[in-house]
Amino acid sequence: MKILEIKGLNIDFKKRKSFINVVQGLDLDILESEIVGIVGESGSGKTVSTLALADLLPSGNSRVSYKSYKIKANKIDKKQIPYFRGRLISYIFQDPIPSLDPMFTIRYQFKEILKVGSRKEVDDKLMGKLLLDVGLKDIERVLSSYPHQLSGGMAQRVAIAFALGSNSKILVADEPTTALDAHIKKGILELLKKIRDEKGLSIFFISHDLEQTFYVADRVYIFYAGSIMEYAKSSVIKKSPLHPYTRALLDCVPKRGIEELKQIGGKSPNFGDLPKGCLFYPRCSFAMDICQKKRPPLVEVKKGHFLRCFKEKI
Amino acid sequence: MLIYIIKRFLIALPLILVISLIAFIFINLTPGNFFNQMRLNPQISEETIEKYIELYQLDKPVLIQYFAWLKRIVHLDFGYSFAYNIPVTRVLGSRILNTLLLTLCSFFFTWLVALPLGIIAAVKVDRAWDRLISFFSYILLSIPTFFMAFLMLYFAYLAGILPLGGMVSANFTELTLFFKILDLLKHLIIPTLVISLGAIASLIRIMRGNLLEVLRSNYILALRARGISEKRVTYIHALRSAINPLITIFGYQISGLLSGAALTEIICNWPGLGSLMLSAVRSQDIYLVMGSMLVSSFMLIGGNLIADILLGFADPRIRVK
Amino acid sequence: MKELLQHRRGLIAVIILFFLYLGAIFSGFISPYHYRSEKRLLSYAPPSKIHFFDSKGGFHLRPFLYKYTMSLDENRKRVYGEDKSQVYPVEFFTKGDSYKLLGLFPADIHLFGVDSEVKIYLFGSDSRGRDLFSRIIYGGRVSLSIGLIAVIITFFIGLIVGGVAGYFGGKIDNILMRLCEMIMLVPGFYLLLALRSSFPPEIGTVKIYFLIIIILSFIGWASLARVIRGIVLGLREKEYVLAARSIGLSNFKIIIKHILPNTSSYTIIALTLSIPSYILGESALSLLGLGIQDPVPSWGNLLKDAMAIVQIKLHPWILIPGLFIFLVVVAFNMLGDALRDIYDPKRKIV
Repeated sequence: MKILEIKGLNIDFKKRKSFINVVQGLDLDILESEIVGIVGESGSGKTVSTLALADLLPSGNSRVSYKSYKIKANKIDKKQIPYFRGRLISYIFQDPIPSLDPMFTIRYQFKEILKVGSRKEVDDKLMGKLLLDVGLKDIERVLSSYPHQLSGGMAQRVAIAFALGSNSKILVADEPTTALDAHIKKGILELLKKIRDEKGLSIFFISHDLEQTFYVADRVYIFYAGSIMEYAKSSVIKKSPLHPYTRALLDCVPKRGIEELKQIGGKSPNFGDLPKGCLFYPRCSFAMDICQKKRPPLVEVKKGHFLRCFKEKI
Repeated sequence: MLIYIIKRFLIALPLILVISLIAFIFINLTPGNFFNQMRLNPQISEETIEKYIELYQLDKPVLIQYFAWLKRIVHLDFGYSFAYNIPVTRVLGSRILNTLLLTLCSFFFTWLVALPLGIIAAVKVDRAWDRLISFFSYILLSIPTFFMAFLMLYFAYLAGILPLGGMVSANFTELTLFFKILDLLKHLIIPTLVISLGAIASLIRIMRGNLLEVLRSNYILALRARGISEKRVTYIHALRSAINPLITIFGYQISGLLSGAALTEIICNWPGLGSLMLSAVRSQDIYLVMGSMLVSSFMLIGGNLIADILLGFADPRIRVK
Repeated sequence: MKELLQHRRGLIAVIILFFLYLGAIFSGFISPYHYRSEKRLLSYAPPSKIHFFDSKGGFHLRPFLYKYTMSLDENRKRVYGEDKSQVYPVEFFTKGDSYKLLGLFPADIHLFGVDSEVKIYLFGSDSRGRDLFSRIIYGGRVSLSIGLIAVIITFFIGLIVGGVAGYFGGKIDNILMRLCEMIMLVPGFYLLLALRSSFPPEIGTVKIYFLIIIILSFIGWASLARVIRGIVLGLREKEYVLAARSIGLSNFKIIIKHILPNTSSYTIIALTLSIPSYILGESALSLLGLGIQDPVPSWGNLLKDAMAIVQIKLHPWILIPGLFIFLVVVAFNMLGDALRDIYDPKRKIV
């Protein structure tokens, strides 16, 4: 059952005096108890699209619009979106410690968030249980700490506990492990899987790391220059990627036994200056004439596998 | 925390010593200058001058003079004012209080006015209030203190309601306590305004800048994402962090206030440390000059110390290691 | 430079400064009278009224003046009026008091002037009947130059000290920074006066000019050095410095070639924003009689008369030099802000 579905998402950013289109006609959806991976380079629009889901982009500098936005098949009006924050959708960010207010204790901030979900009894017991759920042990110490006293891994778990505490159905995890040490990363990934299974949460897992994404996600979206290039089940993308960009990304992942580090030639496009045809055309090794002229539509080429490319077989 | 305070204190002491040494050397660069003035004064006999020279070892090399002076300082003997003919400490005494009063008043007034205005400017950024406040701050910042003082005194003169300078009216001693306080307040208004307006302008800009900067932080976005109301985010979270750097600039503020106060005192005839410093310099009264300079440094160091301590309390990143 | 002119505040600042400095450089030409030229009879005369229409209603293309009449009222205070019997046109490029153009070439042509029977006091006159307008223009020479020269000296000292402290770190850094803190521990005004007091109250104009510059520089270098040191500290760890080190470039060369040029934008901004405090420092000293002395005008000492508040009521024009100080401070502040905006990496061009 789809818990969230957005169609035709458009995001423009103000640059100097005019607006530049960054995300155009994006369709995104997520099922209950599912982890959806969103993969792409920096600046591909992954963060911005997910922030738009809760209307978190700065209103002065941005313009957001969409064709339809449904929560559990109910149409949502733009005005209702801010209410989602902390109630329906929660976020955890790349750098966990700077995402917490350095001036207040964890206890204070935790209580504050729980109150948003208008719980009546907010006490240490409740917070303690949530902290245990995310794998933290020294409850009293954590609650009394200030953010700078926690380690990166602990802080991220606290952030996840905040999300759980607010009873949200959707969690946007924006590069949650990027800033953490290698041996901590796995723990967070396991935790995300656990809360998907045990609490039935839907998680958007944003990352530029393919390996981690394949590890946790059920489905994977490939973003490029503000558009979705391909999406399908995680295993499908891993084994038989169809889009040239996806293939290139997979090639770049360092593998054992292969000495050469591969790269994708060229640069990611400037948003003010997007190519007319396919956005990936300038860097695509399989480009055809038509790719330069027309932008390919997103098409379901196999069941559950969507592709935005004119070349169907590579 | 306590260690932190003690450490700050200990750093200050040697600094004071070295300043005093430098100042002493400077002041004595041109030898015998003061006594030229005194010799011109028929009321002071040559013998008295000789006595002074002997008493304060003024004919000995500078360094020896310095250590002798230093030794006396430790015993709180700041030397003798040649112009006033009494020990320096007595001259300094009441003046210090007056300057302290003026400076503290200005300080509190500045913060009371500047903070709310800075916050408003930040919260309503680029809209009418912000533009208005920012514009006036800009202008006020650039007005020289003395010019402001002249203008204010001029308008007060025209309006006729406020006293023009001085600290108390002529009939002060005859007034009852209530009226004494009122009189003092009336005299405080102009000097305080003159000193504060410039400081307010700069503090508004800083407060506004800080708050805007904090509002761009990661955790502010995170807080919003967690559904915390915009009001809470701004006034409880953002403000809290924006205030910290302000405490850090306490020190510079105090330095600026003391300097500004000095010039204002002179123009408004406020009997404080600043006007004392001026007359000491004019009459080349070495020990008085040194004493005033030292005291002003002490005030500055004291202010800085308080600021450091306050910062220690305010910022948990320092308080809880 | 081009961007500066495109920036609104920058443009205004440049225009203001251009005219002020132009006035200072060509002071002899622009002012109708020499700064020493007195007329005690016309002490504290109000600003001259420029007329285009005479008492009979006739229009004159050239603006003209009437002669001042001076009489004493019942309180023996001077009252000034106009003698409308004769019209004296304002003449341009006229001969007047001699002066040295740019300090070198003797000349006596002035931008504007009037028949020697009459005085043109655009901003009124002071106690000795000296034209305030002329004195303000001449005053600009001192007020506008002292700040600049002092700032340049401060720049060099601050750059060297800050650069060395930031780059070498450790003990050297500690000592130098302690030194800076010590200087910064005495509130500006007190330090200014204390340093001034180590010299006799009355010394020649030239000597006092340089003395003020030295004192101002001495007070100012400390804070600049700290700022530069902070920047250098940050730059030291940058990749290109490490790269330079790894190819064996000497420390000295690294500082000169890599680090200092990158501090330049911050330094220029810091300097521009500190010029106002130097100008104010000189003005304060001159105002208090410890700086440039009469008869040499500086905007500060021109305000000395204003110290007695009564004078302001009677002759409000004596405050005009203060306006000029305000103007130059605003201009430099605007300039500094404009520069800051231009060099700000996060800049959103307006």
